[in-house]
Amino acid sequence: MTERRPAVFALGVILWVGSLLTAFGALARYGSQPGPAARPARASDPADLLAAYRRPGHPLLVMVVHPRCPCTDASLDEMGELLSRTAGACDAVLVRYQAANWPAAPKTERLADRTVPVLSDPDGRLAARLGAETSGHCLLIDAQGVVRFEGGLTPARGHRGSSPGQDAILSLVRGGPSAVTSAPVFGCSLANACLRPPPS
Amino acid sequence: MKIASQISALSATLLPAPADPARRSEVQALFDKSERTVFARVNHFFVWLFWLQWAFGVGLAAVWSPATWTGAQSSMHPHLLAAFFLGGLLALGPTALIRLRPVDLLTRHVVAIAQMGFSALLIDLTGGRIETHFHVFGSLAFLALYRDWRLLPTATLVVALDHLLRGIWFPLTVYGVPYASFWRTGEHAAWVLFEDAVLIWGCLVSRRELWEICLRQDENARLLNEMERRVAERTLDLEKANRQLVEASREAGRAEVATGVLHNVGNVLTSVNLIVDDLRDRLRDSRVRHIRQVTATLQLQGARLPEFFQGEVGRALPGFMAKLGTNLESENEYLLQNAETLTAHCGHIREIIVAQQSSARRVGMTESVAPDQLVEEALLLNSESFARHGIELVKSFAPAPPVRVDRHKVMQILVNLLKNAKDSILSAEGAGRQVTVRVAAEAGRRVAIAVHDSGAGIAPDNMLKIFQHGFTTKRDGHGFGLHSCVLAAREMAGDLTAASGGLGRGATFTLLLPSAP
Repeated sequence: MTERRPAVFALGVILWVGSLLTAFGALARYGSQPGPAARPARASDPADLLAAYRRPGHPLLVMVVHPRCPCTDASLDEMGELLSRTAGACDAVLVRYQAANWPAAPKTERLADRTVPVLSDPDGRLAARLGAETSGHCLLIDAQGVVRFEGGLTPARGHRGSSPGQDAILSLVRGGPSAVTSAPVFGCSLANACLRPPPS
Repeated sequence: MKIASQISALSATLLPAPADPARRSEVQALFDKSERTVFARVNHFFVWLFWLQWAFGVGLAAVWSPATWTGAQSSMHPHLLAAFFLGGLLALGPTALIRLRPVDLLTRHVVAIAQMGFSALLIDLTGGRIETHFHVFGSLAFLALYRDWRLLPTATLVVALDHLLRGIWFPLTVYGVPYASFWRTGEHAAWVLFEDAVLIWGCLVSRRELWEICLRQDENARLLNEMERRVAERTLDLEKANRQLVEASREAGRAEVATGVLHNVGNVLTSVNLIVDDLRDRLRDSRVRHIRQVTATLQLQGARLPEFFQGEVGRALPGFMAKLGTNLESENEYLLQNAETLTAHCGHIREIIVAQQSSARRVGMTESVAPDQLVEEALLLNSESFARHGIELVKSFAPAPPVRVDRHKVMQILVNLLKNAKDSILSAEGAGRQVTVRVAAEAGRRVAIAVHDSGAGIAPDNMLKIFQHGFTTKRDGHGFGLHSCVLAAREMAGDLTAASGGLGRGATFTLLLPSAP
């Protein structure tokens, strides 16, 4: 029994390492899993929906967030970073999901300090009309009212750092080209059960 | 692998080995023991660290990402589950191995894997914050506390694999870009290797220092053993010398008594010799021969005896005979007196010898004796000497209980004290010649016998040395007497003290003896 014990321990360590690899793999997969790529067709033109927030000759960056989603912090940080890099060349508006009887969520207050207007979105009706299903969803509407980019600003769930979405928006705002017109969105689902279309 | 083997070889060469193979194994044993102590201490530290990190991770997830949302509906966030279960798994594995196999290398490798796993978990839980990546460098430093450089490659391998695999399959979660080159993983690993190089060097140096400490410990232990052996030898020598000294002192004490006895007997025998010489002269010159002459004269007269008595000589003969009778009576009385003196002297000698034999027979035996009886016997042995030197003896005996003593030892002490008193008086010219012996009960169930003399006294500087072996103020002394006396007194649970007002003021030696129960 004594001679067998080292082998037993080694086997235990192998199983332990295997369990860790599996768990870390699952965690990484979850972290890098974006919201649904396919989006429902928009019923309204975002430029019309947010016409009140557009200034002539300026692009408008719209971000739809779920205030209680843990990834919202990272999305808001990245949006703030992006706006500071555009040096006022781009306007922004934040659409904040608001369920009934929710108090005002503090997470969006920081952007309000940066003079980014915050639209309260009861039950995610506006988000649905903008075609946003996942918290952190952004739309870049150019001066002509055309949606030039759609997607998220973070590289993974709750992860800060540069992302293809940021690079594309920055390039477009500065008048340059961008081959990237969409990016995965990492965040909680904005879909309200009552608004969700019945499964086909 | 080649680098690892080179580091191992370097590690071995950094440990200076003693030339003696036996010593090498002892130093190795000390080193192994020290290493086990280090392992135990760092193991203990890591058990705490693991569970603190687990609690921190759970708390972090509970605050930062407690729930995931679908509109207004929430469910538990996978991060919270990961912090609880994955963190728990990370902490549980090494904790169990530390409990079961604390010294195994495998255990330390598992600790290294778990610690780097916590780095990965915390980085994930904090959303890949660059600040949390410093946990990796802190963890490597913590692992270096084991002073085992082999753990650092393991930890580095875990970090490198984490970055490599995630760089391949989930690059966004580790580098923040959708596509990462292999060299980016290499760049991240290089910074870790940079710290590794420092820490491995630190491990090797600290191991060498530990080895040197063990070398010194071994040297100290050897020196200590050698010193203890020498101390034991010297102690045995000292005990032997002490026994010899005590025996010599006792012999000296017995010799003192014997000398005292012989001295006194010799004094008496001198008187006896004088008396015997006188008796011999008296007997040689005795007038008894005149009777023989008268008788011969009368026998020569024969028949003419009546005419002889008519003659001048015959008529003077009765007067001569009367005078001769008177002289013979006087002579007889003188001889009788001398015979009585001789008898007295012989009796005195007998008493001295009996007293000596009485004390000598009781060597090693304790008995209950009246203290004044002991003093009287001691005085008897010295009385002749005192008388001859005109020393006045004063006795002051207060009521005192019997003492439980070895009579021979007490006699040895008292004879010695009395002889010293006599010598002190004789050495001090012009001093009064008086010895006072006092007996009195003392506190603490003890009896004091004090011998005070009016002699030379003791200088204050000598008071502390008076009982030391070999110390003497006598020109022909050997310094055994008082030393053996104090030893003998202490062997009987008593004591001997000295007091003096200084030179020329006499001295008092007090023998304290335990009273009989």
